Amino acid sequence: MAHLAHYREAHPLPFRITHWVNLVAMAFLVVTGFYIHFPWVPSCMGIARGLHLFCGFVIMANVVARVILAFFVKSAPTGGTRETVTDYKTWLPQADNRHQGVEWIKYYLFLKKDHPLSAKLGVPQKISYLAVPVLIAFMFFTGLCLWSPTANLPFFESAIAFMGGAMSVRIVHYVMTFVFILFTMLHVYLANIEGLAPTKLMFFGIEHGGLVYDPDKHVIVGEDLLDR
Amino acid sequence: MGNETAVAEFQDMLAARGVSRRSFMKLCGTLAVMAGLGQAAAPRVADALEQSVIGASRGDLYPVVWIEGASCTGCTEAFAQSDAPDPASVVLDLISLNYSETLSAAAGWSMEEAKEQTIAAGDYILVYEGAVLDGWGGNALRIAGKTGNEHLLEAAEHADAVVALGSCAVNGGWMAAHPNPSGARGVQQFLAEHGVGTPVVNIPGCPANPEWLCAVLVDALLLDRLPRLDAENKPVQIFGQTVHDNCQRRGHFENGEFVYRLGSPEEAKGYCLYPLGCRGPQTKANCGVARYNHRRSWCIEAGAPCIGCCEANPADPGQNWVEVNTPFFKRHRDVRIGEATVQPGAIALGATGVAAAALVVHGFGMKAAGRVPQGAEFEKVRAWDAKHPDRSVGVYSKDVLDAAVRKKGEKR
Repeated sequence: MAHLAHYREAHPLPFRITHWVNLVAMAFLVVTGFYIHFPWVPSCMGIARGLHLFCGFVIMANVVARVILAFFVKSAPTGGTRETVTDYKTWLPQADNRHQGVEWIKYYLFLKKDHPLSAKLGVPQKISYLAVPVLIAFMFFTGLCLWSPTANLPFFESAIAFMGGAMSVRIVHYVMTFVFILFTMLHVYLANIEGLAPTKLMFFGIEHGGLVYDPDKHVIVGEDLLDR
Repeated sequence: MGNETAVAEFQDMLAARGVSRRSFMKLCGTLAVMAGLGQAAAPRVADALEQSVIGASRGDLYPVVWIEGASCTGCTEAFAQSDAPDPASVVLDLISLNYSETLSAAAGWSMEEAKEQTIAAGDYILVYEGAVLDGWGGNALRIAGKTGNEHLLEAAEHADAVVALGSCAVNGGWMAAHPNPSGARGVQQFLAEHGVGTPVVNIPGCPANPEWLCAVLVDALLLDRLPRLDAENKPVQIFGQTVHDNCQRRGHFENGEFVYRLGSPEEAKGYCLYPLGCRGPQTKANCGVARYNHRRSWCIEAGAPCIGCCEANPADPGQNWVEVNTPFFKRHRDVRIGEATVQPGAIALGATGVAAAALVVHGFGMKAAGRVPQGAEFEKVRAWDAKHPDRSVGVYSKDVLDAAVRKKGEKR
């Protein structure tokens, strides 16, 4: 057994919901976005644009909600524990993360045999997850630069000029889509390559037994098979 | 009674050009709208036109100097296309075109003298068509012993306003397209650099619609003000909305009825040209309202996707409409890397493909390393902690830590 136990405390219900909203909105945004870029089948432009705009506002609201919730909801700082702290602390550098950034990269590149000890979010993971809300906000902003009702407002007009005109904004918005696709590919791969337990927990709240980690001592202290 | 006489005189002038009162009032309405006054101001424009034309018939004309820069003369050609007596030609009767390389009948020394006199007298409008050239040490466009740039500076300094007519005059247009060997750029940037503070009105387009110039002239000559301008000094009323906003095929866009190939049944039905790279959604101009050639038709009505000829940032010659919009039939411009060009989508798709392939390879690696599906065994002690046992992050039992430190030492 080389996994930490997957407890619900790692991903409490509010965050499982925002994750669901993210997934659904992002999927619709990507598909409708490509359709708006080039309408490969006729007849759907009105629906695609409506859905794209709707999901754009939903995902932005979701990001804001998730960030606010981070200051009110408690979650586990590491895997394999039912202890909780206010969630935002799990997004900042933790003692469990110290000196482990390089170790993670080495592990991914097969230069390190054993699995690095870590917080709930490993160093590369934490950095990329922190970038996601920023990228979504920027994507939302470039989207508003392309949407007629907002594009003509003076603030957005000057932003468009700053980015080099509407064509540049379009290209940025389009290429950024691939950044999200890349992130999602990596995210899905890394979350599932060592077993589906993290996915079952994140989507359905299904717990999974494994090693127990002590977030105060920063070491593995035992095993919990969840009475199985 | 005096007014009646004047009106009768004016109507005679219209009749002499074969222009009915009705079409004249229609023109006034359009001009009023384009000047940002609204249709209700049509009588005011009509009145101003009547007064000025009558004044003009008595030898009181507003002088205009029209200089050709690095141009193809297309904007002049567009302006001069009066194939029938035309209400808009009435506006032309208001101005005294004291100098124009293309349209003036006279030539040579006498023309240059007329121009110098006009400049010396002041109170005129300068229409500048074509790009300003910095290339060849600024020696291009030499006429009458002076370079084109000297002519522009001289004429602009004393003018009431400079109208930069056509995309070339706004920011170099296609003259400034890569690699821009002549160093073409726009009038506004050039004048600002030389400390000439004369207001510039930018009217992009390739060619600029003659009615846009008429609208600006109505504002400047008759109403004695410049039209309301946006941050790029383009008249808001003309360049405030996209072609897409006022497109007659917009309904087909929303319905998802598209032309995917020229010569297809969809094209015959007049469907939306968006998949053919139409630049309407990002090009600001009122083409769909003003149309072209006396409202006969315009690009999209004629079945051609918009190629964005009104895209022109006066502050940046590199952002000329050719550079920004080619290839015309693709949604995105080409990105230039050195001398090579590539579609941004190809880069994005390529990078994603490489990453996907790398993940597949990595997945096989994970399998080979025995990490699928359970992952590798956890390290007993962090690598850093084994190296720095005195400052270790984890709180380990002594024998575990000692064992890890010993192992580390053996490796060395």
